[in-house]
Amino acid sequence: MNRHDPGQLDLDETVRRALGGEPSHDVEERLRASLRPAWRHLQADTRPGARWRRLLPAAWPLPLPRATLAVLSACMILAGAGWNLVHPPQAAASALSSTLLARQVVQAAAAASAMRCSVDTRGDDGRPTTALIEWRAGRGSEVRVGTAPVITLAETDLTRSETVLSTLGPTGRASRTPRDLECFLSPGSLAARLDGTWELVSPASETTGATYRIERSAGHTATVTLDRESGLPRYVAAPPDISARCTWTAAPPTGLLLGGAARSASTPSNMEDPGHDH
Amino acid sequence: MERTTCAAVECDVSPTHASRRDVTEVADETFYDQHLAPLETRMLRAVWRVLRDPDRSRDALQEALALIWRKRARVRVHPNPEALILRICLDVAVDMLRRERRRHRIVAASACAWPDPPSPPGPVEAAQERQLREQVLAAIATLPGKQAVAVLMRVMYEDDYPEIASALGCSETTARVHVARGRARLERLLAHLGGHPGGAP
Repeated sequence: MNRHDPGQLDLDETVRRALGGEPSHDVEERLRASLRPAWRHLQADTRPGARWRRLLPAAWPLPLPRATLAVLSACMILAGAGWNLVHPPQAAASALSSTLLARQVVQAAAAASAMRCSVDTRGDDGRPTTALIEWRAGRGSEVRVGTAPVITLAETDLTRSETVLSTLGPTGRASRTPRDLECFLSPGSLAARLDGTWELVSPASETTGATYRIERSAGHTATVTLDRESGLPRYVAAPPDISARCTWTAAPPTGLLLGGAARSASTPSNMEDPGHDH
Repeated sequence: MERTTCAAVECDVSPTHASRRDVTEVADETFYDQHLAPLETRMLRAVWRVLRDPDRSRDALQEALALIWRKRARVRVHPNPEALILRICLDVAVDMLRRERRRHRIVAASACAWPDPPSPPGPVEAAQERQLREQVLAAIATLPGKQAVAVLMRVMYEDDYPEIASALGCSETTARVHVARGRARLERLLAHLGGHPGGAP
């Protein structure tokens, strides 16, 4: 409010009031603690002579930002399902996240016609995870993961792909994950939003109930059903080349289904196996 | 499943380059101590004020650091490196804010069956403050980058125009124009708040 004219906006005061305040001590310390390691990571990553980029050093501060894991997970899930990221890498990165990881992946991919990266990371539970991602730039600005299964799960169970889907918590109720992940990938405005609930939206979606359809360019569909009661997502995958995944329980699943090739996945009796044929 | 292996080739260091690398590394490590360490609190608070979320703030700070890293040579020789560093932080934060607004618009435009989770309950005043912040941030997100940063530097941090100009890399006159235009636009967008301290129309 303007002191001279009570009816007129006092912009400066309004802005200061709206944007005033400081983060809590705890938040401030966490933010502060992330700065120097990030700087060291930048130093390490840009050393001359390194041909292969190590996206995340083993000394990366733990726990990893959820967004970082979720970005990586989203790429893997969709890559495993055969999606092509047809947006220019830069646009894809900016749409996905502004995390260092996403940017580095894209920069690495853009810098080479073929890029193979290893990612050593840790989950929220502190368990080491290894993922290999191969990027090939071809057909203009298209960044595509090769058809060969390049994501190896041999070292440990790669549960990071579950991060995107499994932030709802082991108890079957929505966890108050404060992290939003929003991914926009072609061919449509596919968005995965995590904010205690999980949503998958496609322009071609049929929003009857909680069922959404994701349509690939080849015409295959994967149906995602969000169980209203438990809040857990379930894939009911139709064709064999679409990933199918069981819902999970408190124990992270030991298997991950990619490209139609199933690994053993232990699922408790109360969880549904979509009956995927391999 | 065919197993794919990948050899992560480590940095190729030859003795002839070692000493040059050492100097560079020392300079880069010194850079942090010299330019960034004293500004840590201001940097993170500047970002926080715009984004208001720990994870987003951390992301924005990482992005800002990456930018500062790339521009470190320029920062070293800049007449006002502090202002430049803070400008980069604000730039990144406002950019992120703008992107989030765009995404929310796209998601909202889709036929989303799930409603937004209800806002946490709280006193009326707290709700009004949140609403005010939302409206102000939404208005700031509509400003062009330099105007947004200029206005924030002027209004939030009371930086003088020479400092703003130095941070933006423009003349003082241009900095004044950025602030004036930014302010004018914000006043138009937020005029409905006049006379309502809580931000409610």
